[in-house]
Amino acid sequence: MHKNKVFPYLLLLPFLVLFGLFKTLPIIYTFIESVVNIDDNGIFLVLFKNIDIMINDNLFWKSLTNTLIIFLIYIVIKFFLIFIVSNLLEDIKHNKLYLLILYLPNIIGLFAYAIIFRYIFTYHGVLNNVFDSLFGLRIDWLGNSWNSRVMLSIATLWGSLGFYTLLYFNSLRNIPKTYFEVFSINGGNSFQKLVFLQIPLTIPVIKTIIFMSLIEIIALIEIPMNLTMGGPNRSTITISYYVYIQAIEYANFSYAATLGLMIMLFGFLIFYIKKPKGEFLYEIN
Amino acid sequence: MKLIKKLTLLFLTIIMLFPFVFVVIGSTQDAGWAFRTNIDFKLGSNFLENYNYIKNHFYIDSILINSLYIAIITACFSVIIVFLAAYAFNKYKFKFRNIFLVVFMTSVFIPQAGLLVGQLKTMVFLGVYGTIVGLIVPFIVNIRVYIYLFQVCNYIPNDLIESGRIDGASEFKIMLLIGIPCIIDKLLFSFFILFVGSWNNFLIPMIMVTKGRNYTIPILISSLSDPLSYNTGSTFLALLLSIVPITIIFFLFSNKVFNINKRIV
Amino acid sequence: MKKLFLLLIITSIGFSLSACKSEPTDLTIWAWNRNVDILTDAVERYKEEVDSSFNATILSFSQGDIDTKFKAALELDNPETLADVILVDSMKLRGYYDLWSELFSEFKIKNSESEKFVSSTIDVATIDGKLIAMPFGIAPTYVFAYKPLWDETDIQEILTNGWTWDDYKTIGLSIIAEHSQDEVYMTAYNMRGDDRLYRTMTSQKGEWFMSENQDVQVGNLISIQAMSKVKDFFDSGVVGHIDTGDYKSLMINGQIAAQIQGFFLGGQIKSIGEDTSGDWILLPLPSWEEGESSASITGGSYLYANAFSNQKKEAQKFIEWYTLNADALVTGLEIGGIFPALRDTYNHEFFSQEDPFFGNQKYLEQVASNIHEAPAIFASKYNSYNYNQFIVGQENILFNDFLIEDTLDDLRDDLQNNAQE
Repeated sequence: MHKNKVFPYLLLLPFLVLFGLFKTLPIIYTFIESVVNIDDNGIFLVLFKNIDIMINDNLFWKSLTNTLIIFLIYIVIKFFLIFIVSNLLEDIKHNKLYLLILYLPNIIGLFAYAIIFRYIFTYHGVLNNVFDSLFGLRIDWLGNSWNSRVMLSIATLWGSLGFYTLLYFNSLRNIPKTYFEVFSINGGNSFQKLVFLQIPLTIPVIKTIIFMSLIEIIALIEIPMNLTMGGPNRSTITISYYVYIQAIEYANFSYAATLGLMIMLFGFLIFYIKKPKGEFLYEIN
Repeated sequence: MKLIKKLTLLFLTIIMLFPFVFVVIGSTQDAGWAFRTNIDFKLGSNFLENYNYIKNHFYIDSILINSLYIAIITACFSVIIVFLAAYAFNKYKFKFRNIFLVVFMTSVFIPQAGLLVGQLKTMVFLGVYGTIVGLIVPFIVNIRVYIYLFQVCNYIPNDLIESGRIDGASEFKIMLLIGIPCIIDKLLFSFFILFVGSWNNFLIPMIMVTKGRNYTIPILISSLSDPLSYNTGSTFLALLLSIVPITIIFFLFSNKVFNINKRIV
Repeated sequence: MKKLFLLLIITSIGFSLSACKSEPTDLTIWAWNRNVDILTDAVERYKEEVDSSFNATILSFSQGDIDTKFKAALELDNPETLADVILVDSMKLRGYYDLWSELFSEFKIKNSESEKFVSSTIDVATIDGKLIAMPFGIAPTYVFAYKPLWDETDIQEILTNGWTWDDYKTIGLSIIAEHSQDEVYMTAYNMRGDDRLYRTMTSQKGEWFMSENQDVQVGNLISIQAMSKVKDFFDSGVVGHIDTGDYKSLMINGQIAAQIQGFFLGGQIKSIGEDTSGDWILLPLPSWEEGESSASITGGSYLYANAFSNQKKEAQKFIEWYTLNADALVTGLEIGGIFPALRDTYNHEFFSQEDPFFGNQKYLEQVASNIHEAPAIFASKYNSYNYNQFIVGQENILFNDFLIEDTLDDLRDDLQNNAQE
């Protein structure tokens, strides 16, 4: 690292200015919104009332749980697919073309996916109609809580798998081939190779993928809103969707602001998760 | 074994492409196509009809140009500004560096709906509410791309930078002539990501737009997918109009951008 | 590199300057879907018949988007960003007024004119003695019967003498029994997300979640009876649970015998299921008791004028002229399938046409025949919350064996507490 006085600040300046204006100012407004209520009668402190409501708000905690569960399902399916696809792509000739096609769904945008999936995955939707005429069966994709959550994860994955696979695959390429060959010679099978060799060597990119996935799921709103509408049994109301419901549907802007800040605080806590050895899990390096 | 690998990959890619196929076929079909139980995946003959519906109700040429222009400008400014910051954080140590990093990382977590009113108020305060500047400048600071580029800067070897310094080059020249060329493909990739992000950006543009000629494509799509609408063919066509330009740009870019690292032996 | 920068900056400035070119300040109108076509025609007529200098642009936004824009403008307190004329769903109107009463300019029309509308529509739009929006269209609830599944005698009987909810169940069970091989329902909704059946029943008695004075109606006698009926129909298989939006697929495939929906469904089915033309017939709703009125209005839309707009007077004049103009409204019905709220239109010859889609039934006449009997139902600013809480209760009752009275009692407390905060 070079210790230079002026140059780095010059580089950062536009970013910092814009960050300050368009990311920090809104947060300040949101903070003010959640703390006080300014109207014609004067300034009222509403922070404690909002926190009180939040603590007793079952739906808020449920949406947090939903988000966490969906995140875990998402991560599991995602890594499962990433490992399979990465290993499939290893020695194939046209792997660039396959990666290209895998990446292609990323450009559509989640809102469009939600609309498309709404036609495809309902019980009497396109996919089931095809299955019915071919095999005579229909699958209840969205009918119960767990199915819906899995479908949410899959819908999100559709658009993001390519990006993450590309990330991981590039990282995998940085591992010398000889490592894998030595492992096979010493009698390791594919699964052991994955768990004991590949994963430890790609930990940094795995951490990045987990971090970015968490951000993705916390921000997830278009798909629950348009595909499952929060049901069944409110099992697919994610935290972003709930904040939207409070802010836009119920017009409880102050309370929604409080919830938003609370989630930001939860996110902040991630940087305080420590590994068993005492180092921080997410080092800023 | 290789054959099984190829077949699985083929299967996966076909699944991935299914939404595209669905949209393409749907845009040529009539309103009831997606709801029939005996649905058939053939191209229909209603493309012109669906297109005319959109043309008669929206300023489709303005909409496409708006989306294109805003996306290009946003992506250009954004990739430059975000890269400069990512490079600075990755290659230099300075006061408050760690604090800034934590603040950046944490700011991503707040859900947009909660922040929405704050963002809008900021734009009113800065006088950019409802202007085209308001559709571009707030979206230049993209933290996800920042995180990506921050990691990508690790691919710029520090020894190369050091040797540049030893040779007496200025920091700016080093960044320009050594740093950027190392990761030019990743920068182009970031440009592409930013372009797509701006192209698909919906919520704030929708709230701010007050004139038909200032719509962007996501607003068009949302307007056509009102739950009570019965122009399903037009909805698919609008989705197609959103997807096709990006796909073209994607394939144009893919040579430069999709560089898979060479396998280290 | 620097040249590129400069070029970009110049083009951006250039573009923003050009965007600021003063466009003629047209009146702006916001509407969704087919209403855009209707209003386009309305604007042209107004130009021809009343004021040739009138210019209006109609922007198409989805309903949800107009709602979001309203809430954003509410919070930012900048009504200038809202259009001069805005279409609003009847179930949102009062809520919007509660949130932002200054936005609505008052329509001062004579009693003789307000009486020309179906009275429930005027009731909903009259708050504190002021008429704050003009009725644009209504959605009377009707039964869309798929004839091939029915016994023709039943249909004739219902058309002449009407039927009750008990008859509905009996007929439903027999239809399902006849077609036990296939997946056939009498009616089907997303029972985890749609209160339509309950709402239809309670609205026949003039109730929904809250009264006009925001007294909670959930949990009272009618509420319990309606919910018991819903559960009964659901348990016996007469009413089926399907995913949201699937009713379209099922209806054109002939799997739903008697879908109960607002009037707009006719237009939707015509668009989507052209090849089922002639297989449909419109039946009146079942009533609670024999001889009682079965009319129900569970939706509708209004046009209101932005009181902060500097074209407020023109906007109001246009709205008043259009909503009171029978010819224009009938054309609107023709173009967009929106049923007018102005009773004069029902005498128009268009209403006595036979519609081949509905087996040559004079279906417009049919709908118009008892619409004036439909009581008004009200939705306050808490309606979104009430709705979301209610369907959880419905879901628990239907799918998780919760007791009806207890659940509705808890709901009543919940809704009451929320309204008092």
